[in-house]
Amino acid sequence: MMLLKLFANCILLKGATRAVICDLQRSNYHLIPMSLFDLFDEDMLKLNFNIYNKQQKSILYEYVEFLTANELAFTISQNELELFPKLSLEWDYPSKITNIIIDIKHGKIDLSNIISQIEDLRCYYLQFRFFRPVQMDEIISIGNLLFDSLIHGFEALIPNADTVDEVALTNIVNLFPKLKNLIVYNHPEEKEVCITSDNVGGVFFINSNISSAMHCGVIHPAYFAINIETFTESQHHNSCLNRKISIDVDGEIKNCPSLAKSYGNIKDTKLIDVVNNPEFQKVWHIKKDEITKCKDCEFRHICTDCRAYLENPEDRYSAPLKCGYNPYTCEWEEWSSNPLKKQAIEHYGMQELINL
Amino acid sequence: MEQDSEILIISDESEKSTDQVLKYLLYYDAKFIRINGSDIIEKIEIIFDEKEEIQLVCKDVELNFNKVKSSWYRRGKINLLPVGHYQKMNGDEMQFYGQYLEHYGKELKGILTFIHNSLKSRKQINSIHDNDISKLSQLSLAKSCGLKIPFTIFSNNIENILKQYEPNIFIVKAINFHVFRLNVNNCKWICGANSSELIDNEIDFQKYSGKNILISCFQKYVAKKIEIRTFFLLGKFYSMAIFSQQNEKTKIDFRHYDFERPNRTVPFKLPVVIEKRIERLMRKLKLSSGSLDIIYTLDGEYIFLEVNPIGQFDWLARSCNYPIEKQIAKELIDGIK
Ligand code: SF4
Repeated sequence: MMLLKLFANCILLKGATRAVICDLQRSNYHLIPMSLFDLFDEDMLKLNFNIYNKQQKSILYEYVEFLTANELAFTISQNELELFPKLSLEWDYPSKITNIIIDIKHGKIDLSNIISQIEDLRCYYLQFRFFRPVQMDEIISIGNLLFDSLIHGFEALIPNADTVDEVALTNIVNLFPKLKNLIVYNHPEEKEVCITSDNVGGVFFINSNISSAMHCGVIHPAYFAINIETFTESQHHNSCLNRKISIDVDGEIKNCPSLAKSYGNIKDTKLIDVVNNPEFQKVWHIKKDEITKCKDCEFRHICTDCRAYLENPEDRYSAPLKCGYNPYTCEWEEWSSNPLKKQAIEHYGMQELINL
Repeated sequence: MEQDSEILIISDESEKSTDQVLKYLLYYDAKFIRINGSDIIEKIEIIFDEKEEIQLVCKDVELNFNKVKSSWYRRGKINLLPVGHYQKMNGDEMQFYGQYLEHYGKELKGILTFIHNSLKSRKQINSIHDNDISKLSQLSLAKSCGLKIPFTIFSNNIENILKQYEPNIFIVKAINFHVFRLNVNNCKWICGANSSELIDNEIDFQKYSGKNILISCFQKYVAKKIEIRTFFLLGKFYSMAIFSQQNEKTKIDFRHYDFERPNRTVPFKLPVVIEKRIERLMRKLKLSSGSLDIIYTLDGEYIFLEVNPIGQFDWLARSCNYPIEKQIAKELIDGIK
């Protein structure tokens, strides 16, 4: 009998009509038919070729070839089985908040006060999204403020404008090692302006126009996060909102800028009080396994969620509005043209955005 | 938690795993001080009176060693040299300064040893003295603990090795950690081989014939099924299997990394008997923690290669989802309770 065991970081997930092997080490996924999935006993294939006829055998050989050629599985003997434990699916992170989004549209915000609050939260990553033109000086002053803080890294999204100066931006990312990414959106030319010396970030120009928070939440295979961190977090928590906090353009403190519910304004509410509010933490625990449609989807633990725009805005366990995937037919279609979603689109006032 | 007990961490500024452990300490609200090799020690005082006291000031923070209840030596060292003046010197001054440092550094060793020894009676994860453990004593003790080791010769007589053994089954290694290339009177001396040369060495050992060899370590190449990396921490084992044999490029040393198809790295569980032997070895080496290289052979045997007291564990922790940083933080906090 041949024993074929999946590597512990290649994890089998069953959907409604097919299954997928998530290769968490190489950030890949491989779709497989139910007929192959059904042969598995957990992460093992026990193949006794003698009991199969010629035609069945040739299919089995094909499966074995596919699994070994992609290095998804390895042959193993019975007495070695206990040497290869499963990957632990525990997830842990040493802070209550992993990152914060700050949206800026009108005027300036009082950052120095916010930063000390963020430090107290032991939150190490920050994202600024500007929905108005930005002066280069403004980015420099943010960099200066964060320079000696406990913050490990931040990124900024800024719109293309006359004030955007390639050379200045390059100098700025090199000047502030904590500034990981500077992304200029709505730029005619899609390009990588510079990569930082530690290879983890740089200055990027992108075409898409992120003119408001409403652009977020698109579900697409290109955005799948196929890694141990997301996969394990998704087992226990909401893969989009868990341990996140944000301040929207009006200073309202929310789980995500796109969500309607506010827990107070930054003018008179402390971030820590919002974080410790059990009501605020509720969405952290909405798992993919509990969401309509997603719970039957083979991609559920590599696809990050969106709780802001739902197919049924009244139901907190409804699937993301901007997902065009149907796990029952295995087809991707354009979400915005689906007649069943028309009502929800109107509910969120997205008609214009879609017609662009 | 007692107000005035502290955790001391000695590391390098750019050491990422230290950052991770510190995040956990912050998360648990534990009081700690981190000293990096690049930090300037503004003041140091060792007082012998009714009781002994070691006090130092670093980055404006005062530290009394009597209050340190728990320490972690990650790497680097407390730098007692006056590094600050360095930048302003000219060439001659630099040269003089260099010579002075060499001697003064030796003088300081006694003080450093004393400071580090003072941490011994408290909870301690690794120590600067762990760096002094030689590969020879590792091998000798590993054997006495019942672990298998590869056939190994330390020698400067390559002709003899060529004569007596089948040379192409050897890998040439450094005595301890460093590979040397010396140029004396236009004559090249070598000790050990770089890992990038290893593939050649396995096949073409003859190229060392006639060369000037300093004492090097010649170790028999062991055909492996998988490589095992084990992180040991105060009795706990975190092991990972590296399937380097699937990939021709990494057959000798997995450090020849293939970025497109990285070697499979998955959690591994050593048999309890092997763990027991390793634990005994670590006790004999007085190592509270370390990173071990082990080979799992085609015949299912475990061959111990070496233990690195300050080895990296980040790769292992990430690949196998092991909570190593959290565990280190917990152990340190345990010491101040
Ligand atoms: S159905 Fe759910 S899990 Fe599947 S792709 Fe859509 S949003 Fe992701």
